[in-house]
Amino acid sequence: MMKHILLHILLFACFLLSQYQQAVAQSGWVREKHSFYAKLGYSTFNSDNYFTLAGAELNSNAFRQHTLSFYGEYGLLNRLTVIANFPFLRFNRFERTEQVSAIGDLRLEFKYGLLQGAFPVAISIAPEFPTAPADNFATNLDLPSTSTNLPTGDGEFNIWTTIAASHSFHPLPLYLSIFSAYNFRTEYEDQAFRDQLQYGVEAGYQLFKRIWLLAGLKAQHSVGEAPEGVLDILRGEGTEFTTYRIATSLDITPQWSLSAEILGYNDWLADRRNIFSAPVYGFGVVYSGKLK
Amino acid sequence: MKFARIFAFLLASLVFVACSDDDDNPAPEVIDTALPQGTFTVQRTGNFEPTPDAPQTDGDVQLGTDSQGRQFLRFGNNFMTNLATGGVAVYFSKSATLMLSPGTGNTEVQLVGTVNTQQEQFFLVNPAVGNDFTHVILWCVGAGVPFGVTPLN
Repeated sequence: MMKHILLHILLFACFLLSQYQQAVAQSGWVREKHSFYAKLGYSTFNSDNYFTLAGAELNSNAFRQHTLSFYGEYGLLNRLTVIANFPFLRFNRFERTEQVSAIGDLRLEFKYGLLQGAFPVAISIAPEFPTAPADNFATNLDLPSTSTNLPTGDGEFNIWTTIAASHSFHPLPLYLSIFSAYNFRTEYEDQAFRDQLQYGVEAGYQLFKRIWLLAGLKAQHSVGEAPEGVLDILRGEGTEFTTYRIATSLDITPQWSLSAEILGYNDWLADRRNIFSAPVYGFGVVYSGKLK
Repeated sequence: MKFARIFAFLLASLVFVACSDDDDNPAPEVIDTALPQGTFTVQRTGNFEPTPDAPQTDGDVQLGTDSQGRQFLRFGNNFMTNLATGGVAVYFSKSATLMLSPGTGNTEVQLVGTVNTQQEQFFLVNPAVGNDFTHVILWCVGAGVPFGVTPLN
């Protein structure tokens, strides 16, 4: 009996240890004190399918984006995790414009573990700073006297607030997380933006103790009536969508792992509005562990 | 001494002449040739209305000529469109769909100019367009999508 209990504890401990190698964003878990997770990522996107503010689907010139990003988590305290998400280099272009590039907007998140145990619940607040240049004009190749604005950020200061809950189905190497988030938006050049509401669910399953398979679904809605006049579609006003995400990670060593994901758009929970729709492919190198 | 008085008299005369020149010949009027001169006579009209494909363009459109016979396209005081994206070109088109064909001389369209402001504005149309150009299309050059389409009647 004792041997059976110890085996269960060992298996659960292995499952928890492997959590170092998983991000805790949008889950009920927070990182242990001094543990960290750092990911250098690359994503690419190419779409000629634009959905207008009214949800009409248009065929457009292909919009192409490549992003290099840093994502990091650090356990400041046993219940407090700080998270940084920074696209430090983003390339934007349409197929008929020059390419422009710049840094993106920095998001800092402070996540607190309200409840721990079998059903952990966490809340977080995440200010997003307009570190990207608000405007970034690319010359139009077909009409060089004109240019198209392709900024790498949204030019405004905003604050995301999130509540998330999770559950581990140990001894099954399976977890489930749900979350809801609210984005308090501000304005850019006297153009006010509507707030945004997101919600979603994610499940993860561990194979052979080295491979994680993740699947998630998320939706975003605008909150309230659209303001009068012309809306700033360039900075995400009125952007609504449903995304599904399939991701995997492979542990190479206890500290190093590789990740890959596909993120796609559809209309399952929220219709696509003011968005280019196509799969986003992402790859990452992760280093995680615990500082002594 | 006598020479000094003559010089002072001549100098004063010059001053009075210069002043009287200003009074008799006011500064020339600056004419903005980019705007219609005299009466603007409307020949055809249209109206941008928000649609699902182009939900952010609205306003009256007029095609006409000024007193010198030059053709202008006018957007009314109620005109608005999305300018945040940058280059928005104005085209005359022979159909409701913009058919760009640079390889064959863009025979189905004529570029008028680019929109840089909201509300009333004029575009000089040179060469003047005939009735075979049936639509005015606002075109987001980078994205290659219409921001507004109106027939001219």
